[in-house]
Amino acid sequence: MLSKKTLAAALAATLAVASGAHADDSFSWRFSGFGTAGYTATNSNDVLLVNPGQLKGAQEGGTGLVDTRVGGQLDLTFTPSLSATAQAIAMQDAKGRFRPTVEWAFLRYKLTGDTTVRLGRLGWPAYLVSDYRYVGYANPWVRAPLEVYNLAAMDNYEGADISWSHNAGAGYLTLQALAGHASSPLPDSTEETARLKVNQLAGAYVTYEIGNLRLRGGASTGKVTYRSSNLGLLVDSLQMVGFDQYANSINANGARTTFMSLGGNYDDGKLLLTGEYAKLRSASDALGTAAGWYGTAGYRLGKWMPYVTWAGYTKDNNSSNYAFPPYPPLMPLAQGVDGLVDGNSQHTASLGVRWDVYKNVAIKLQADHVLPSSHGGTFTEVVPGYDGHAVNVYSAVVDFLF
Amino acid sequence: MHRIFRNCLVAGALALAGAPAFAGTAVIVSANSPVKSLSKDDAAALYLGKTTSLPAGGTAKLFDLADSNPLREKFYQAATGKSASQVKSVWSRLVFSGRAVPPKELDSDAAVVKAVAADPSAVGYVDSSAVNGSVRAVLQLP
Repeated sequence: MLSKKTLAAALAATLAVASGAHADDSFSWRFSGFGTAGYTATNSNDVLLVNPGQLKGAQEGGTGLVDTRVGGQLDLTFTPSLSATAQAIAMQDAKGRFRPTVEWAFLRYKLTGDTTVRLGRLGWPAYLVSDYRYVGYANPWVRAPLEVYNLAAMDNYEGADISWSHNAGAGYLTLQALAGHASSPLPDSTEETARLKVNQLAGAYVTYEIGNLRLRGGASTGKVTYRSSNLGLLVDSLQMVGFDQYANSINANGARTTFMSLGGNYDDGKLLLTGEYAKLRSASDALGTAAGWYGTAGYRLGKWMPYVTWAGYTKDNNSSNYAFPPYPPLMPLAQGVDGLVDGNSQHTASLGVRWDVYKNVAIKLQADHVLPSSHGGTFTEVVPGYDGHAVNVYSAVVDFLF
Repeated sequence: MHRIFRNCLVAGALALAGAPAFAGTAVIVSANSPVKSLSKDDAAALYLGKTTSLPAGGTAKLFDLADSNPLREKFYQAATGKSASQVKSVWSRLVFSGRAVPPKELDSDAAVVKAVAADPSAVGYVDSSAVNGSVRAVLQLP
């Protein structure tokens, strides 16, 4: 485990190297930042709209808590082959607070002209835009489609990666392999914070860029431990009444989990097309097997770009594996299990427009028509008895770079 | 003979007069650089961060003009077909994913020429009229 202390020591060492290298004219540093001021409202108080990992969200009343964020990044270049990057982001988190967290902090060393290794806290490159999903300015939408980006709520890991880029045909091929472990807090319905831990994380990704087309795909696998007070209570209760087998298949305690994704985007300056498919498969039924996809098309008219998105998400129904005898005291337990392992789904049609109002400022307006299942799809805080009626989400954001 | 001589003079005069009038953007490398020419695609790939490798081998060190310089927008439009804000989006993706640091920005053509001349791995772009003997124009853009 790369603890905060180790990270701090690494950064301190890095800074020491930096000051030592000051005399060398190849040393340079650069600070850059990004941010979003957003406001979101829905037309329903039955469910809560959040970005993955957030406690608070939007309902009828509207809120700025979902998309508002600010981030800063420091890049230090020591020699042409050695550099360091640290990025911190403040956004509403699993405890509902705006506390800056170190999104990543790593050293990068260029082994050869084509091969680079990085070490430290790194962004988990699971998705097409995972490296810059919080940089609103760099993305066409108000927020990355939740049908895909809610599947695996993990942004970074501690470890290392190696990447190799080379000309291939008329394009550029990049191969990336990573290994490490991760831990990220998730909101819980109680006062406690749930936590997702991934050990023995390993992954491989391929990117191919040719002309205006970029394709990316790959997979990660790891042993996932998910702890929340609700899941803990459920597993304990199951064991207490002798359903050990059910307890084991639900519990996520080092459960082998894989996540694969495939996506691409095409941008010729006028037409923008982008889409992605991702699938999560876990040995734990609490995480289950789920898949998501989206397609976005946009067309630039000067400084304006209207766009449409169609997205879908489905989680497999595993409830047939859990049969409880019709004994009334077991009812709450059976319901608890069912709520966890039952299927879920959501489809969304979105319409939006981006306006490049200034060279580093973009304004976006987006309306989403969301059709979740009665389990609420990607929404949280689903009220009991929610029937899966459509929910409209209205968002306005200002994205900026500085 | 007379006529040929006169035509030559006229052509020469036109060429001299024409140079500033038709001045485009020149992508430049140091006079000591192994790079003899760059294609528009090569320049676009470098300045959109798709590669850092020079066709002749080695890693390119890029120089850019400041945001406020109108030649910048002209260069990116000619080399990549993208507007300044689209290019900003592309670089923000690279920067905030920690994969690349954008080209170093300099204030003037003269500063770019000076920086490029001093480094055999450097690549820059300037108004064609700013090219002198210390650098080599490897690509002419309108």
